[in-house]
Amino acid sequence: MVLVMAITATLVHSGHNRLRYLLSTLSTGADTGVITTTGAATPDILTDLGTNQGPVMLLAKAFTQGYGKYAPGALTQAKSRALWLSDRIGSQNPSTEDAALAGLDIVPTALCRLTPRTGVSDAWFVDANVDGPGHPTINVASVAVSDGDTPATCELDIYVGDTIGD
Amino acid sequence: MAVTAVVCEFRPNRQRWILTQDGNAGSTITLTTTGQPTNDLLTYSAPGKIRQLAKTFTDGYGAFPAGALTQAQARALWLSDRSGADPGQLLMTGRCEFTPRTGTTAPIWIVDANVDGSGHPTIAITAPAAAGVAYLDVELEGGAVGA
Repeated sequence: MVLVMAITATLVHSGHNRLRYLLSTLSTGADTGVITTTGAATPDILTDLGTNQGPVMLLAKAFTQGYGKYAPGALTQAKSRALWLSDRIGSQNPSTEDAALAGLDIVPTALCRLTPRTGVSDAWFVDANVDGPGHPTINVASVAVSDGDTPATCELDIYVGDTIGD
Repeated sequence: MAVTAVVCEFRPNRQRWILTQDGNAGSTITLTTTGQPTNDLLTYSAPGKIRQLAKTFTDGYGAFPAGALTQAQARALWLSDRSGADPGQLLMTGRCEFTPRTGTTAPIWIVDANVDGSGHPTIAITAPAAAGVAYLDVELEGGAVGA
């Protein structure tokens, strides 16, 4: 029998340029979890940054303040992927440059990195999307990583690599 | 079909590629350094260290003279594996890292470095035998400031 429940994301580190969450699931099948950017209860990037100001905070406020070429308001999944996965494919580059992928004069965006810690598989995934009103989200997923008795765990880093310090 | 690679960001110290695998077992793709229109590290390099590494064949890099390279030298350049060849301990080299985005099973993406028939360094990727999407970062090993 496949046990399905949401992945939990527990904040384990909050810095100016990086957040680290511990993902955990008991699911023996496919499972998902969401990290929001609305200031809701944890796991929420705005909330979990606390008083830490920096580029991650600016990214998390893209809905209310805009970011680069992105005006405030609802974002698309492509723009969310640009912000949180540095995936600037197409015309979704927040840079003030017009070139889609240009290498120098571009505003910094984030990366997400997974480090599986325990479990029976390392099938962890991370993507970016938006919620109903268009707030960016970070969506995590797993497939059969737990045996159902012991939670499988994975570290998720959300950080901006253009920065000095943590 | 097979696995495809599309660059989705390039910076002086990092290139990010999106890899899409249709599920065919044994699918492979090679990133070249010869200035090809697609799937080429040199073509999509911004001025900086990644470009310097990608131009090793023409310009040399540290102890590696210009000209044909060996697989050991390519592994030093792109995997920071200096066990078989070392351009110099003070010279930064690259590393490759995957971040799976979607998939249905354990995403075993494999990356190695090699050379083509002329000795140009390449990065060789083998995709898992299941449909999925992953990002590949080709970036400098620790020590670089900025992306």
